[in-house]
Amino acid sequence: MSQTYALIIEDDRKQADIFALALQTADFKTKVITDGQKALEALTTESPDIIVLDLHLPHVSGTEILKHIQADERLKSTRVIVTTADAQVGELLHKTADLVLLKPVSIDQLIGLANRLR
Amino acid sequence: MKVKATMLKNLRIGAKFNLILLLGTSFFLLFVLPILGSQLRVLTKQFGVQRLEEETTVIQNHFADAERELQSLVAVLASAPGLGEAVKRDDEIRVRQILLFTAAPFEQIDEFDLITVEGEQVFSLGEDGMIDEEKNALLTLALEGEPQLGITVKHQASTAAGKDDSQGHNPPIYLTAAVPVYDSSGVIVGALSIGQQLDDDYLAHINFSRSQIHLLLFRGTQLIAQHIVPDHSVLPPTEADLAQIHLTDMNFIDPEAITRAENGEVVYINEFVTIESSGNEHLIVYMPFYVDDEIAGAMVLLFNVGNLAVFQTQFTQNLAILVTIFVILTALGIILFTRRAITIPIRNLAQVAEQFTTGDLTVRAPVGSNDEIGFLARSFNKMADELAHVFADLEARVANRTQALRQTNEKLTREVAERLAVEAALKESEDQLRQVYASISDHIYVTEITRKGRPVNRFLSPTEPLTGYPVEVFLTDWGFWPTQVIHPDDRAFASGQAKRLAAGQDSEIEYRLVRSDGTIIWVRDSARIEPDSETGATVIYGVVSDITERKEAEAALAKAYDQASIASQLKSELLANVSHELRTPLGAILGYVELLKKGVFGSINDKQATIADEVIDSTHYLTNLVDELLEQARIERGQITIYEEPFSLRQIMRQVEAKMLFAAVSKGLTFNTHIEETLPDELIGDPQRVQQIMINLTNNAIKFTQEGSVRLTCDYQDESHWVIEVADTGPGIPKQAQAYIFEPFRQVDGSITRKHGGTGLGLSIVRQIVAAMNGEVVVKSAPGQGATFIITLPLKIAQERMV
Repeated sequence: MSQTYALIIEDDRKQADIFALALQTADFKTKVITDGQKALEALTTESPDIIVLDLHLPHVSGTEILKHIQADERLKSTRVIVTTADAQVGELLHKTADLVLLKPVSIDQLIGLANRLR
Repeated sequence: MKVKATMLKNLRIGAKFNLILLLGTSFFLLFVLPILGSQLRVLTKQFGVQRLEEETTVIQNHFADAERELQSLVAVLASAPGLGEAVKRDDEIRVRQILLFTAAPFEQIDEFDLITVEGEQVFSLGEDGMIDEEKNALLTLALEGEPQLGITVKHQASTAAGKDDSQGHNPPIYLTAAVPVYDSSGVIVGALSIGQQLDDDYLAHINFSRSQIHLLLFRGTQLIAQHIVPDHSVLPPTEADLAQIHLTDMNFIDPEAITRAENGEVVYINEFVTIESSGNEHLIVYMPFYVDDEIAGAMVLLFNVGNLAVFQTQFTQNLAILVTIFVILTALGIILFTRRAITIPIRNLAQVAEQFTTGDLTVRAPVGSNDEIGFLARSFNKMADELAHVFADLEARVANRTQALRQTNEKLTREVAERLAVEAALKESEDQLRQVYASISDHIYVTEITRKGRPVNRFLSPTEPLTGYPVEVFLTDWGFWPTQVIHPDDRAFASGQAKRLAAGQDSEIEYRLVRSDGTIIWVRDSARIEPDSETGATVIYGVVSDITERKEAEAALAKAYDQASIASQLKSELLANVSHELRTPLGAILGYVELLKKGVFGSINDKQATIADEVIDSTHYLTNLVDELLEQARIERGQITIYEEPFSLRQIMRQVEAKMLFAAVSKGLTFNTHIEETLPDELIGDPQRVQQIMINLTNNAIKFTQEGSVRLTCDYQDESHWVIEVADTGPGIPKQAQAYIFEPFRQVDGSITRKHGGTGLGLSIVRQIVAAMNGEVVVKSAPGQGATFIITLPLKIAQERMV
């Protein structure tokens, strides 16, 4: 696998599309999941290099997913970029997530960070 | 009249003195004088005997002196130069020349006799030139070398030796001294004698300068010589006195006493012997007359004491006259003295006393002397002073009392007037008070807690405006209020007031009342407690006011407030939701435009890129707006949390600088930060919030400053207090605006908002965060002088760095 794989878990399709397009320009292979439950299911088989995780998700929250990722030994090397519109929540996750980006997320910022985590 | 009687009495006193004096004088003259006279004889005798004793010694010494003188003289004559040679040659003329020449000064020598060793008479000079037996014996003894002294008697040639044949013609007797005469080689060539006749002249010589002493010299019972001195001491002597003694009056001489004296006795005749012719009396002593330690006769000394009888008479007469004169003078003196010292002062005193008794209290007796009379006068004066003083004092006291009485009277009158005035004022005051009570809608009460703890209403406002009950109900039954008037639901609560008052605390509570007509009103019962020092009880002063209207207003207000609170809560939640919902599309817009600009959807020209930037800026602005709204909403909901963790102040300042520098520089402003290098870097606190504060303030500063600079500094103040200052050179903030710039949605000038954008929430958020961090924010500014925001935050220095 020469191409780096980024999984985008984002309920807002437009936002997810933007993240995907941005990461693709930086030569990431991307996949978008808009449902928390589906994301958890996907993560049982897949092991992405980077996960862009929205906290505000239907069915299963981003926080739950973050816990799950951290608990899964197989996903140990996976880097998680949390995106949230809530600065307060973002601060709370500062320690657990690899990166926290406040929405609206700057494209250049996202690409730069993703490249650093690659 | 009284005074005169006193005078007479005093005269009689003087007479008495004089009578006593006369009686004393008579007694003296009749009895004492004769005794004195007779005593005079005894005293005279004692004195005379003593005198005679002294005189005998003196006379004897004089005799001895005369003997030694004679012996000296003969020795001088015998040793006259050339006498011895002349005698050896038997040269009578030469001898005579030498002796007479040498003896010329010595007139008392009555005879000279000089014999050779052969016993031949060489020279003889005397009354008749005879050498009698005694003289020859002396010369003969002298030839043997010893000087001789003795009595020699010149016997009449016509009579047999040693015999006297006729009275009054006694042979002359000489005191003779004989010495040997030597020639130049010291050999006795003869003997020389000189003699001095023991005659009256000789005795006068011996008795020289004696007075009243007569001296007689006897040999055997024959009077040889006598020396009678003139009697000047008592009575002048007459020639007859002397002659009679001399010639006829020798009968007082006691031959037996002379014989005893010639046998060595000294005989004092211890009686006065009167010589009849003169009547003078004498004391007599008989004593031996010694020549060369041998008795050569007897001496008789008579001490003439004069005519004692005459003397005694004259003495007593003179004394009587003197005493009489003395008595008369004394009597006169007494009379004068009593007048001067007693009568006159006493009369004066009596006059003064008379004056004094008639009421003249100022008169005083003259105090003349320091004696009893003076003392009497002083005592009288003292008594007068005392009386005057007492009278004066009495009058003064009467005057004082009268004055005091008058004053008391005036005072009483004044007091009565004052009291009447006070009563009038009191009545007026009461009327006013009644009017005041009538106009007051409050219930006023004064309740006394007796010492037994029972409450009694002492006073109530006369018109009971609150409850509708008559006042008497509360006056008779204190418990009516708490058990009947207070709303049943509030009674338990209201009893707390009674407890606080019982504990001595003032209290004020609000509760409801049920009026007599059943309506309910709210009242405020405020009570003040004070101990009554007089009765020992506690008194409560209270006012119950109707606060129904206020209560209703408050209730309405509370209701409105609650509604407002709910609305505010809803608003905050709405804000939060809206913000979130806004954020999502904004995120999409921003993302797509950025992607567009990056050429993800195909290349774009410069014009399109510029438009993309504009869209991006607007979106950032909108995002910022939404962030602030969100933050504000969170703060209003109380959802603000401050963390405590170590952080680097300098790092935060660098981040702020990195974020804000572009905005500043792009506006043509300089932006710099400063912190002292010596200050500690690692602090404990909330780094996100600190950064938020710095960014908000710096952002604000850049936004409002058109030219100049923005400066961010940090400094350590004290006790873990840090000061963050953001200063700009902008237009400044007017004084009145400084009061509200920290309130939400407020800006100084609406035009600026329009010009610069912004929600007006930045400073409000800063202030609320700072407050949440227990810090404070102030602004120093004036229009045209820029603004400086000063934040003081209690940030602790990390422990490991503190040391």
